[in-house]
Amino acid sequence: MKESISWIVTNWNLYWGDGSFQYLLLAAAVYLIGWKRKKRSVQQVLLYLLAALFLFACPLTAAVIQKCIGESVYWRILWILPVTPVIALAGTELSEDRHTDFLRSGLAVVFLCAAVICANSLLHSGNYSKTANRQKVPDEVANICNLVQENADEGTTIRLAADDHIAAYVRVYDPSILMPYGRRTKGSLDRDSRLLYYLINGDPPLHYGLITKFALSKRCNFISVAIPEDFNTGAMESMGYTLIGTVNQYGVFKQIDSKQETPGKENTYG
Amino acid sequence: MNLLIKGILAGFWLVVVPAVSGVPFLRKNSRYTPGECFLTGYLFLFALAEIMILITYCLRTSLHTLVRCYAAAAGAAALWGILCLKKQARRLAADISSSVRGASPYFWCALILIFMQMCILAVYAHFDADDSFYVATATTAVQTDSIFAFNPYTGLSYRNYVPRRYVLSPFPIFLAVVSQLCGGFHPAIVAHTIFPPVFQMLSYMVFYQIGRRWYREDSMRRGVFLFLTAALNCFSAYSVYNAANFQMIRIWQGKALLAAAFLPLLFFLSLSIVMEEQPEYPWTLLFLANTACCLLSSMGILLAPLVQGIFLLFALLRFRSPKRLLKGILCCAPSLILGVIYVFLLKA
Repeated sequence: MKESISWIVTNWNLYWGDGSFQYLLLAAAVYLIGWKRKKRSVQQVLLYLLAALFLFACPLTAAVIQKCIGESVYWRILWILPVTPVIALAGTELSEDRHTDFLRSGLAVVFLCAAVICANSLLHSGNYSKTANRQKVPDEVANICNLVQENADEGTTIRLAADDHIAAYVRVYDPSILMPYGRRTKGSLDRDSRLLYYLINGDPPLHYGLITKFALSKRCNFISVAIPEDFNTGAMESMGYTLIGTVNQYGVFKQIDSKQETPGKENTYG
Repeated sequence: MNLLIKGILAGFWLVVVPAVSGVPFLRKNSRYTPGECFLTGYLFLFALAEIMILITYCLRTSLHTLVRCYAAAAGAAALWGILCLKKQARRLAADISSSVRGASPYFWCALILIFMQMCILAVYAHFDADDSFYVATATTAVQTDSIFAFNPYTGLSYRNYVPRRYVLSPFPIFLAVVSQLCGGFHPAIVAHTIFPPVFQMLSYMVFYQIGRRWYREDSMRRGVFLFLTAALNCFSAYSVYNAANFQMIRIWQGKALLAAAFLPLLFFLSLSIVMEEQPEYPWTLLFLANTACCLLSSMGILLAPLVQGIFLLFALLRFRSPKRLLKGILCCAPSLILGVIYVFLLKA
């Protein structure tokens, strides 16, 4: 029981993070209970809020729901809380409309300024960035995919091994490129694929010899891997991969098959 | 195809078709609004997509067959909607013009803020690694002209494997369908540039309807309410788990749309249908909403009946009507059926 409650509290804290919206919600609820409880709409929304919170916090219902949706995403139950409508309802109830026209116009200007400040805060929250590609994937992913496509032999299937940062978006940008594994090894069919994933995502210095060995065994004709500035391509070339270009910290390597001895043209993006 | 033509097609399939295909469901209401039509249209189209995708997946047909079937059904519904709309067109136009004239300054401030949010979402990018499944499923479906036949992470065939967590909530396939209907737009462009402003607008329409329900005769407070919802959402970056954050940064994903728009919509519909002696909308809408939630995310299969269940319990206590309860349970049928199938797939 104690464990269950502490787990519920953990999920509650996870959901609200470092903000104070839970207190804002509480303040809104207290205000509505205290001053507006006679309104039918307020009664309904408060009763719903209470019931939803009970479903979340009661260890019995929590155990059942957790079994259905999984332990790691239990916090998603809190999506059924109408947080924004309840806070906005309290805020609206607070703003009495017995103003003169002058006051009303003044308030509208204040609201307009608030709108600009809100949008500005949103834009600078660190969640948004600009990309040069229309698909809106990280530019280095787009550049790696383009580099691979430019250097691919006509008619051959492209198989690319890359680290997690790149692998997550490669098939979003270009689904014609196959991969031995996806994000966090998802979709990998065997042990070699997973080993390749762990090798390529390992802490530097990476073991490039082993990476190429497993990439060969998974028939990857391209590898995109982080390389140091003074990287010696010898280890990769001895295993049959040649550097075709670099994109930021990533080196893009192509397998030299018996028919095509000459390496592709060198390209550098980013 | 020219980018402009693709953009026009996107506007047609994501704005015009939903707006008119919702009309037949509301034709018995004497004074429905364009916002209600738009939301009802999306409920219908998402429910339609859920049923069609599940059928075509079971029949192992190609994506282009699904696209044709969906286009025909949505087109027919839109046509029917236009026919129904003909009788009400003048009244609707008059209502819109009087609403615009009577709108409060706060409402215009809210609209400015919402428009800025839509622009930010359309112009800027947010990288989310969950796209490696959601968007890649759509790109893979388009590339291979198939439905859940290839693993989006690798591009290799699923063979006999069923992606059980996702196959019952195939929103990525809906993305693939829309990308094909928009003249072959890359699914990533549709997901990252076209869906966000449209769904953001949809989400605020839900909040507007909630405000309209609470302040039916008070346009001033409706404006304040809408402004406050939009302003609060701007400060949602306090955690990556809350619904508003999902709305502001990755609304193109099914689960985000569920949290941002469809659970609040279900809340609104439950208040307007289940909790009213004389329901303001037909019960069909509640059924459609439940099915739409199932399309969006496997989480919707559980969360939708939870929301509806709470209100059904309240309604039972208030009205003591078994008939109402039965109707409510029938509206949860899609979730219940898919839930049973999900458990069956899990055990299989």
